[in-house]
Amino acid sequence: MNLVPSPEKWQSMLEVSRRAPALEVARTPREVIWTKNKSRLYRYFPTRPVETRPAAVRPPLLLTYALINRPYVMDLYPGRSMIEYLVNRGFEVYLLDWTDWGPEDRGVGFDHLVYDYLRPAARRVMRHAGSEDFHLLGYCMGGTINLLYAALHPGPEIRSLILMTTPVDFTDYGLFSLWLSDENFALDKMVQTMGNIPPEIIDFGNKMLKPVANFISPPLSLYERIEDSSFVRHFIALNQWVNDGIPFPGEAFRQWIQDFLRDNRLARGELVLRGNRVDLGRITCPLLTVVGNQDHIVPPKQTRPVIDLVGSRKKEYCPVKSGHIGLITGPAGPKEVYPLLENWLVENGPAD
Amino acid sequence: MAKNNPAHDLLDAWSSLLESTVSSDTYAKAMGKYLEGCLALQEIVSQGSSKIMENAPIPSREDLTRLAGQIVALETKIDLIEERLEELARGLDQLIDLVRRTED
Repeated sequence: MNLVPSPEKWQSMLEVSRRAPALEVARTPREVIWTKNKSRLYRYFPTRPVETRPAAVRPPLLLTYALINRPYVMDLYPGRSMIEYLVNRGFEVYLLDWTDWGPEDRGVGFDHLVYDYLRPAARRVMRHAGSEDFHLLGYCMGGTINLLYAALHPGPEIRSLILMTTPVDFTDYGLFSLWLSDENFALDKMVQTMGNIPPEIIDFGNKMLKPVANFISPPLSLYERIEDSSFVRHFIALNQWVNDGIPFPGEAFRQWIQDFLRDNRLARGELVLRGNRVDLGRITCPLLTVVGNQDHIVPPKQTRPVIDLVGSRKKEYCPVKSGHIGLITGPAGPKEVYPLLENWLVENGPAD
Repeated sequence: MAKNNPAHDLLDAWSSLLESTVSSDTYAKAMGKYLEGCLALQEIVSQGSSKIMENAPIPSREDLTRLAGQIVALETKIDLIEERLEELARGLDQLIDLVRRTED
């Protein structure tokens, strides 16, 4: 590490901090095809001419993201965008963006997300694409929501399920089990007082898992590599995304901490949404699970058990050398993960 | 980052120290107490401002939240009606197809 003070480097650091990076991210063209409350369902367009090969008959791909931060991490910037990669290869890509939740949404829980948002969005995607089925991909908690959906709506309409860094089994959830225990964390009081949970609190909690790596190392790395323009570009885009959080709906937060983390109801098969038990064994579609083996936010041990819990005959577990977000934003993204998704979609698409 | 570097070693040592601090029961309890204190304060402020707004001749945050909630509920109802209409239209299309095939 070279931290020798240099006036030129400091000048560059100041310029970077002043630069407005807003135009850099989420550049793949898209249109809104449905809205619900503040949520938006987008359909993406390729950024260059694509072969019409099997695109027209491929089942569309519906993406969902977590309730933490925004989904444009899947479309970070040209060349480092999972969405751009897939649409440019002829896939029909849709994204359900939860967007911002307001104070009036404090009562939104996972039951609402599954039945009132994801279910109608999936129907819209199929109708828009003229398809009777679709692939469903969820990143982080988006994958957990998709699992709930797939277990509660089993059937042929889900062509395949793709989980990326998705937490499922909270038998061991590391430091959070100490911080968020009944004894140390006033969950009900927090939700009652705050309504929705501000993104800064969630972000702080995640960063405190590795305080030096998250608070100190990034500016030092930037200083060290300030003359590397591609590194700086990546840093700015990622930094913008990290600091662009959304409020977590109060009821969903309460369910997440109490039902998923503390009681581990999803993995135990005890989670009930609108009177229906979420039985992951009812999921029979092909399942691809991609994890970052250096992920400290959702460690592989929280994802791996899904393989034994679902009823699918075809299921693949793919560990990739990366962290939680580096899986799609780091070098492993374009080199390894995007092609992995492409191959999976082709393999599980209709016969050409 | 290169190994055997004093700056790197210092960061590593600092990182280990901080990680062991935040992993302690003392830290978790202190954060819990801090959160409870913040929530109590926020509750007092919210209740106070709600009382003031109740008597002011302008809509309060609660009023706007309630109104927004009603709009969202209305949108959900429209969604359901739209879905039903689409199901009916699909059913009608299938019926027309069936009639045409029978006539042929």
